[in-house]
Amino acid sequence: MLKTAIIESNISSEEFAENDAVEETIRISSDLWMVKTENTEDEGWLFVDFHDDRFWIIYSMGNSNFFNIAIDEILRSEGGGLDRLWIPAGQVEEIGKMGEYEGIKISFGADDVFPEEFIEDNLEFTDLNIDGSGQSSRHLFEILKSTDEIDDFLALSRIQIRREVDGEFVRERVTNEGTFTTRGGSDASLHIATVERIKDQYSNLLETIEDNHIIGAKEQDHGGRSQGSPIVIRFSKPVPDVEEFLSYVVNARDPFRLWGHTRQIGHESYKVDGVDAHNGDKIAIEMSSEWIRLYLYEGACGNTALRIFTNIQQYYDPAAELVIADA
Amino acid sequence: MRELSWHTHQINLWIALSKFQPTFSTTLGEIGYECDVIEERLYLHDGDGNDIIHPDVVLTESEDSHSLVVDCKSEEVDPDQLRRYLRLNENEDQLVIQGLVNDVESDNLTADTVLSSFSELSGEDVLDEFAIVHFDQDPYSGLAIWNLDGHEFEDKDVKEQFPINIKPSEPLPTGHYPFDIYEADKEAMVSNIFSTVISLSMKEGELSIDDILDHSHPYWDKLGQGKRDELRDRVEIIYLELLNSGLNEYLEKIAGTEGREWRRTSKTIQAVQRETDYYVNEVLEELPQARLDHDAWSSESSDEDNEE
Repeated sequence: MLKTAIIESNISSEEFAENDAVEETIRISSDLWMVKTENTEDEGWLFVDFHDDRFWIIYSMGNSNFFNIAIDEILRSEGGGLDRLWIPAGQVEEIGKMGEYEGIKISFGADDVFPEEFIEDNLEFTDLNIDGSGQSSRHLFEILKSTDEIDDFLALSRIQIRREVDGEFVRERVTNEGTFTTRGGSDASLHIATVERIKDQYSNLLETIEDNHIIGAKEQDHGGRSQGSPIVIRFSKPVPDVEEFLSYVVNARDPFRLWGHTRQIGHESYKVDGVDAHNGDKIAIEMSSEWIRLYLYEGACGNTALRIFTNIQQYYDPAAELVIADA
Repeated sequence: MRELSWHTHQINLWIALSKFQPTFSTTLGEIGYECDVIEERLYLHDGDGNDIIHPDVVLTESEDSHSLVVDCKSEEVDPDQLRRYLRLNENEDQLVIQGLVNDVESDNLTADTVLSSFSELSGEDVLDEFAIVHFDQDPYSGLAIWNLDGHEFEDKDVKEQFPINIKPSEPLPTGHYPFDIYEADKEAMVSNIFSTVISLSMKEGELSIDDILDHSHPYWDKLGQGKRDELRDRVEIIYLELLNSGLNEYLEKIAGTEGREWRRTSKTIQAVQRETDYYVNEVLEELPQARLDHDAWSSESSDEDNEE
């Protein structure tokens, strides 16, 4: 089966050639390389498509484990230069609208971040994993969504669709990290078009964030004109203890990897001057029980905001909402 | 409990009022105002002589060519300062001529002169030529922003926006203009410089005082020379104190990875995380204090024992 991954890049293809995971390259054209890589699972060739400077597309016919490890190693050895996609749950649902549902996966894992006592006091679920495939997948998802006790915990992490266009079809399994497994189809071009469409949707989201939400000041004859506003993450329910919540999120550990200095700035509000240790971006957070204001500063990547938001959805509040300026 | 000096809070609030801001109010942004932080002198000269004013922020609506020239006050007003601001009447064109307002024809510009404060300035002897804005913060009932009776804005559109009510009132937005030279901004400044140093060490490996300033304060190089120098002096002191407190050995390890390999940096970053409060407190203890007659903390680290 064909495996595909979209990755976000802040480096050039020439820099990529120096990546620790890359053993050999064959340049089919300036925009398409074959790249040899080896890992604990296997060794093999990947095809890397550079036609979009910001979002590269990597293809492989190798097995899933080999491909997943290869992508992990490529991303890890490049620090902040390369990153995976962090597709919010709402956007995964949007992908579902591109075709007929053939499967869903819901992954919520508070126990990966928060201790048992905190979960007991604050959350209805320690973890919640639902993995279903088949014709009734959409029906299952709709039933779950209409159930009040559970609907706030339904963050789609993966979706399978069958997409038909002009008599041609393709069956795709798409994760919230921007990886695809093509499970069948009649036209490879339709797969490429599907990947491009999802890439463009994500690119537009990132562009909206970077155009409107990077804090800075534009030089004037005298003084500076304010630029940008914070991104807001609104919780579906108030966070009972903001300080405790932040102590598990801003601790320089996986999965958030946020380092920072946290201090109380109001009766129930806190501020963090921090760094996203995935890529070194400087951030600031102001948090009340109802929302987070996330400030990104010049040089920061919009992917930082999507990573933080997607992790909040996956580990604390799947119904949290990202509030950004309209594109 | 507050994060910043009242002066720095107000600069952030005026900026926030002009921005997309679902947790605050975008009142002035919705009617077309954009915010410039100035902190630079404006010369006013006419038949009566020369005067200088230092507006903190100027908000401008370029379509109607109207500006709000704001001076952020603490608790008192200075009669001489008010006298100087009054001379802006009939001299609004100087805002354009001297480059404090852009994108507007100098002949068309009209302006409201505004005093803002977290205190009530209504008891002060302020002429009605001045618009007065009162930020009235209560942790339980929210933030109310009043335009005081008798000191209304001349611009009808602006006048109609008040009062502005925001709930909850905390936390106030502070990320646009993160710190200034005032004693009450000290912890915010140390915390911000600390995060900037960690970020630059991860991303660049090397850093200079200018790099730290560029990445810690969006406005530092766009303010008047006097304010720039004062910010630079203080940032340099804080950086040296951070290094002296023991952070330097961690920074070398972080910088050595050039932002690559989370596995190689994570232990170091986690070690710094455990000591974060310690470093901030150590630096705060070492910094010079503000004088009793001054709001700004001193950048003079002179040792009085050695003074003759």
